Amino acid sequence: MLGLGVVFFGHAKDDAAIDFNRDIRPILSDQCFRCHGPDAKNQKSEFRLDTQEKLFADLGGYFGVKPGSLEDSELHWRIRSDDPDDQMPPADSKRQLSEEEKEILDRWIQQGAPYAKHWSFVPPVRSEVPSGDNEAWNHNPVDRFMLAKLEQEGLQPTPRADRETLIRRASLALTGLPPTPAQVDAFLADESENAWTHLIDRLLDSMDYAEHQTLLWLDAARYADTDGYQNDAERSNWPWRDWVIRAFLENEPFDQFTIEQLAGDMLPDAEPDQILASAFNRNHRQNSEGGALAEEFFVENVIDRVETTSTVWLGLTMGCCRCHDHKYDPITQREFYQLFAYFNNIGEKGIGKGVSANPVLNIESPLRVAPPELTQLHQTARATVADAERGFGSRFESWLATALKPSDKNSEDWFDIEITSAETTSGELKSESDDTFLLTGDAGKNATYTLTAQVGTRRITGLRLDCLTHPSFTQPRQLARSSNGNFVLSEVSVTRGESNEPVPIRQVAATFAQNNYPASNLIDGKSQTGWAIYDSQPGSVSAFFLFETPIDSSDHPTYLTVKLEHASQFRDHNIGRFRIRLSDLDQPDLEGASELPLDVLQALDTPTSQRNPTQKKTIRDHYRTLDGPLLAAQRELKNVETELNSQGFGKVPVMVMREADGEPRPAYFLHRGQYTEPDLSEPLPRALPASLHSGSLGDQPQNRLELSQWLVSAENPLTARVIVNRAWQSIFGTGIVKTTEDFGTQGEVPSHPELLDWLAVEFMESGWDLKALFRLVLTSETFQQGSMVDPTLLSRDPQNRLLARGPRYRLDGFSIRDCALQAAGLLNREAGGPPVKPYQPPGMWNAVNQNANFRYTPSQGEELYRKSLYTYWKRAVNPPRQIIFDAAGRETCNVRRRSTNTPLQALALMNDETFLEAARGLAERTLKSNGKDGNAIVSELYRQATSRRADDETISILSKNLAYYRDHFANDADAAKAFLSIGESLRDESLDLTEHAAVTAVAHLVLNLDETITLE
Amino acid sequence: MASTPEAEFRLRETRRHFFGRGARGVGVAALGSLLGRDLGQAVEGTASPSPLNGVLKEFHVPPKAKRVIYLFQSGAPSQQDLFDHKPLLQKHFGEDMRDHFEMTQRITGMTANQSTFPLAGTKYAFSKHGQSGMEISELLPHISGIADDICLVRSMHTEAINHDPAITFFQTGHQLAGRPSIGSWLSYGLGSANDNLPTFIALVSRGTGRPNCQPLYDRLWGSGFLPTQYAGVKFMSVGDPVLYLNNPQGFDAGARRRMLNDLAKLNEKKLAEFGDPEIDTRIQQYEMAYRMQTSVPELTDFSDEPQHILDMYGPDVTTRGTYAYNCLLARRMAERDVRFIQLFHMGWDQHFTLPKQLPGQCRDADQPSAALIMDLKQRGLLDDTLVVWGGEFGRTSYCQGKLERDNYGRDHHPRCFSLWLAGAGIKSGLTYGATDEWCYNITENPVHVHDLHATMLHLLGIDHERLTYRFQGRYFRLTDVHGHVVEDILS
Repeated sequence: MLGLGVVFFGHAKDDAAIDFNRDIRPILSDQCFRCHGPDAKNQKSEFRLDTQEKLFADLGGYFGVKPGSLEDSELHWRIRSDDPDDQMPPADSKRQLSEEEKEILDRWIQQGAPYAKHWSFVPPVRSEVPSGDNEAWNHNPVDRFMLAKLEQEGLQPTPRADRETLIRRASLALTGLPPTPAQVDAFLADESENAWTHLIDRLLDSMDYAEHQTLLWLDAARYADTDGYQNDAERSNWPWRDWVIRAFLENEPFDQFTIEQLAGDMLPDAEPDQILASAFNRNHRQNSEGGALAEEFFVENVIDRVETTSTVWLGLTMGCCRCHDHKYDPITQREFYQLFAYFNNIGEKGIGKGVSANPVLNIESPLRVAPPELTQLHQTARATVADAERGFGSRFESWLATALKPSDKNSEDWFDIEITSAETTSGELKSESDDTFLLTGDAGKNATYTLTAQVGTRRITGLRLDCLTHPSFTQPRQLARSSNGNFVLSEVSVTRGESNEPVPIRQVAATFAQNNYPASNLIDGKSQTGWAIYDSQPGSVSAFFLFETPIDSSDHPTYLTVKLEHASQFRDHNIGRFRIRLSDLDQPDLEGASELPLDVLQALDTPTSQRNPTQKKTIRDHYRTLDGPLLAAQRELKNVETELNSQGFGKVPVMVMREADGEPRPAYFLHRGQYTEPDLSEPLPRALPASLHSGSLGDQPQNRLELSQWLVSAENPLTARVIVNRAWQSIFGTGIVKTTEDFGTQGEVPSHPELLDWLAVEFMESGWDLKALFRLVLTSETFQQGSMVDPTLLSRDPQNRLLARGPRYRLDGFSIRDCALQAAGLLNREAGGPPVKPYQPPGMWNAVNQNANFRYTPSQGEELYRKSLYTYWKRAVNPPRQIIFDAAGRETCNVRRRSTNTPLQALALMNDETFLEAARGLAERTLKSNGKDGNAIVSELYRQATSRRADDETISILSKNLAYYRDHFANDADAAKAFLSIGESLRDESLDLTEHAAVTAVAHLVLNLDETITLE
Repeated sequence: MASTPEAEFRLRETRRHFFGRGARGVGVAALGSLLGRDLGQAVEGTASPSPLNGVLKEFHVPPKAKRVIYLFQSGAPSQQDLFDHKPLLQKHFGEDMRDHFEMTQRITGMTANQSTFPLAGTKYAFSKHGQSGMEISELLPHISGIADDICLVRSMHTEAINHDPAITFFQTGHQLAGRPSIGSWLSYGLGSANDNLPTFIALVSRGTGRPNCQPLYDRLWGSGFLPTQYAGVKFMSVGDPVLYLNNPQGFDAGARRRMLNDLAKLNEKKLAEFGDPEIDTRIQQYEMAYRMQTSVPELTDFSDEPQHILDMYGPDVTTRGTYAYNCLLARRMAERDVRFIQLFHMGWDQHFTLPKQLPGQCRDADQPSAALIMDLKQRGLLDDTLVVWGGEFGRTSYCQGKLERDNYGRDHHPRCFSLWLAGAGIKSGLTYGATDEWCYNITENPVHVHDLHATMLHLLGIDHERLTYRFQGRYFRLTDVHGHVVEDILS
């Protein structure tokens, strides 16, 4: 059979009945559907083979297929023809039927051409469990299905593996971590009948289980910590990852798990956590490249949702239908955009950084609980803000009473000061004779000026920045070298003296500010906001900054450093000419200045009785930016929240789904899948493909919530099978359907279709209970067989699809590292929180950006040893260890397990400091518990890494190896020291240097063993 | 049975596993092509081993090239200033493009809101070079010097308008992430041609033109949906050239050898007990890793290069991470039969102040590019090495931002741009395709990205329609459902 290469999956033996789904459809689909299939644009003739009706239709006196009669079946003649005009598939199709395939098609016609709908589009029914007479294999339905197949193939199962092997296998399969020696001992000592089920239950109840399942889910959900385009900006969707962990931990029924992730935002009275769950479909990449077009990437985001949802729940390759009707499966391009219509209505923009790509929800991790002290501080700060809010009204009223119009008089309140240095990050600041500075040269977008003002011993209460015109600048404003004479100043900061002690500012005011660019933006700590003066009258403008406490440096002279930062996206919007002056008065005159932006001024100018609600709100909102007590309370709250955030307890922005109110955004058919080519003549109604849901439009799911409910309803033939199959893959390494991503006609047929259906029904009827599913599978004899590879069996079933032996496969890169850390006693099992950065070779992020703030800075201390699940996932440069060991890149959805075997993997295990530090840790704990006996030492090393007791031969090889390294390092103390200083943790210097180095070398070998990195 | 490449491949793997027991060396073969020749054919009884050890059993067409060096100029070099001279732009300098014709192309968000689209003629002089009189800018004196060795295509076009999708398109044949890169397709199709080095290597450098512009993603040399062993191995410019290559401190080659010997003993013991062919493969992989610990340092050690060769590549040649260094390294890789050598040189994205950025950017890239061609040529390697030089799209003839006599910048323009090829099977001294006098549209012989890919595969002996991989039920190929071999530029 195509693509399988597995002997036992070969077609039915000569005498056996042909099964349409197993034997015929895959040939027709692969060889014929391209031109005689569902794609309306590519149907070369009337004849189609993708539906029963068309297959047997009267084609005008003759038949494509006439059941029972080769003679009357055109198909037979065409596939047997040598005539280039008749022959099918045609020579230029680059497709060809093998002799065997031709035989099978003929036999099928001879046997009456039995037909069946594609298996995965028919809802599963609980298959009858085969009866058997093998006592041990009679208890678990899984075994009875497996055994029946084995017997049919004339094969015998392999006897059970030993118990040491089994506890390791079960632990790795369910949790990605091996058992500790103590856990092995406890299990070996438990001779009760229920020892195995107890073990499985213990594993299923563990956080390790939840974390391991989450890891698999993250690949499917294309979860990452960055946006995945251009500069690959950081995002903070990790609270969603923690939501998933908690869901697996609590064994949330899979139907609920589905609905919350696809449409949690639409549930009645949705809880914040349910909205958080909907981040599933916001894990797509997000483009913020300069010049990217919003409409284009809006469409890409929505299509990504359709493709991901289809792959993860339906096992269908919907992506094919973006540009044309599906060539193999019964899904049209139009239907694709009808599905699209469920996912396009969240009011997103399509471009911009993930952290601000609305809809965004600020939320904390559902897994992390802050320590009481911090919580207390947070509560207090919040209460203070609430207090300040309560007093706000009266303070506002009294402010309003005096809210002054700007004064026009000039005063002597400000004096000039000596500026001893004026630097800019681009262009040049030229000092002019009148104490002003002129920007020259090409400063580009974002110049930052740094000025040093010698204040000596004077008392200083505030500072003013006068922005002056220059004839060379563009009229009418002439305040900057930009094309319109405008500038945007983003931030102003003042520090004092050599220690750069910040000088807090209590009040900002400006003689003019354009709407949305008030002077208060200058001290809000956000460089994306700023002060600008677009529609000012011609002439100079000034900004004033009054200090919270006056600077009084009577005892020793000091100086101020004033930083003016321009960070806007606009070219040349840097202040073109300016001067700085200072004041020593407590209330210097703000000469024509008002802290009030234009709209506030206008509102205040309107008599109270005539102000409309918007104007009232404008004034009130403005005062909120001035009110001292409120600002102070908010600042304190922000400090506490920053602290909470840095420890992973605070709220962070998570991209979520939030269905827009009102009439849904229409979806259109996009010709060739191009956003620029919509067919605007007809908005498409939301609907499922007809092959999945035959109901009329009124019966179709009306929105995303109903769609998610349909996905986990009994009417949907696919979800339960698809999920059960992936669970199976996670245990045995390969799914019952090997193509976990494709259950369509081009996917592989199931190795055990009856078992798959039985499990799917069982899963649904258990209330979508994943843990019950795993319990059922792991308590089977099938799972517990030995995994030795018998040569005869290998030739019959090289991929072990029949499971006449237990699973044996290499662990993934996450698990390999976690196992080494556990053996070393280094593993930090803290759950949830922001991602961490373990060791990574230098320079890996250089290809993205060389700026310092793009550099990879490893985490510190215990954070270096967190589980690999929490490793920072950068899409541009994936974590090397995981990728070398075949992890998916998380740019798009991935559900298939991949496994290669390469020299780069060997190099990683040989030389990555992770494994060398782990070897040292493993050596250290072994030396501490085992004294000096070489045999005991190597036995312990081996057991920590492999969970098994070493046999004599192993001990002998390892002991000789130890002896070699004892000699080796005894002669070279420098080498020993160097070898033991790899990694951030410090070696225990109480241990003998030579011995520690020698045992580390052996531990290093043990961590490299095939057995150590393999589930067997 | 097994009529598809993947099926054949699977079957072959199965056979290898089956026959592999006890036949040493077969394990290596089971790896596909990351490294190592496929010795499996001998075991399978093929009388004369094919030069191929990838999924293809034989070439579809007679190959001209054994290997490719792709000098990707990331950011999009300005064709108006380098390769495609348009005097009319100078004549109408400063006039609005829309006064001359209707602009129908997509415009990026960076210039969509510009009130004017002033035409910016180049400030650089062009002159004719070589016997064919190929017109090239004064900014590229060295490349001008090899005009008779290259084929300049002035009629490239693409659909993408932003860097990320456009570079991804050039490297994988698709604008969105997820497809295999060109080099992975070749690894998968043809396998390796050497025993000690990766089949597909990627190298990255930064020009001085705009040092922090377009980021490069792993996906550009990734294997997409192909198995990961076909991914390119990126050579690092700091630390170990290949990740985790060098032994740790305090652990010398002798200590490593002993570790590997005993590791092999224990893995062999496991193999005897479990019979899993993967164990055999793993044993071989550790040996390959050990060999790489020698072959890679030998590759990157320039001490055997005579001074006159170093001088050819220019002053940066001994500085790791520079384009010049990578060009010389590329030649050394070509000598060692690395099949696909992918350089990325960043810094060509001149939106503003082009006259300030471009000369330096050209200085970095010009001499080493030309030196590589001459060096390959004098060693006879240019006969079977295909070299490609170019970026991901073109630039606009109108100025982005304010136009000054001596200062201008250019936005993205996917409709036409220039690229050159040299070496195996390429007609040298040819200028192919043309654009209109505004450098706005192609007027003759358009070459699409898919066409370039089809042509590259053709030169390597592959029919681009027949190198496929089945994924998600579909047979994918590098050129999707498009692409034509550009016969006109073949020698």
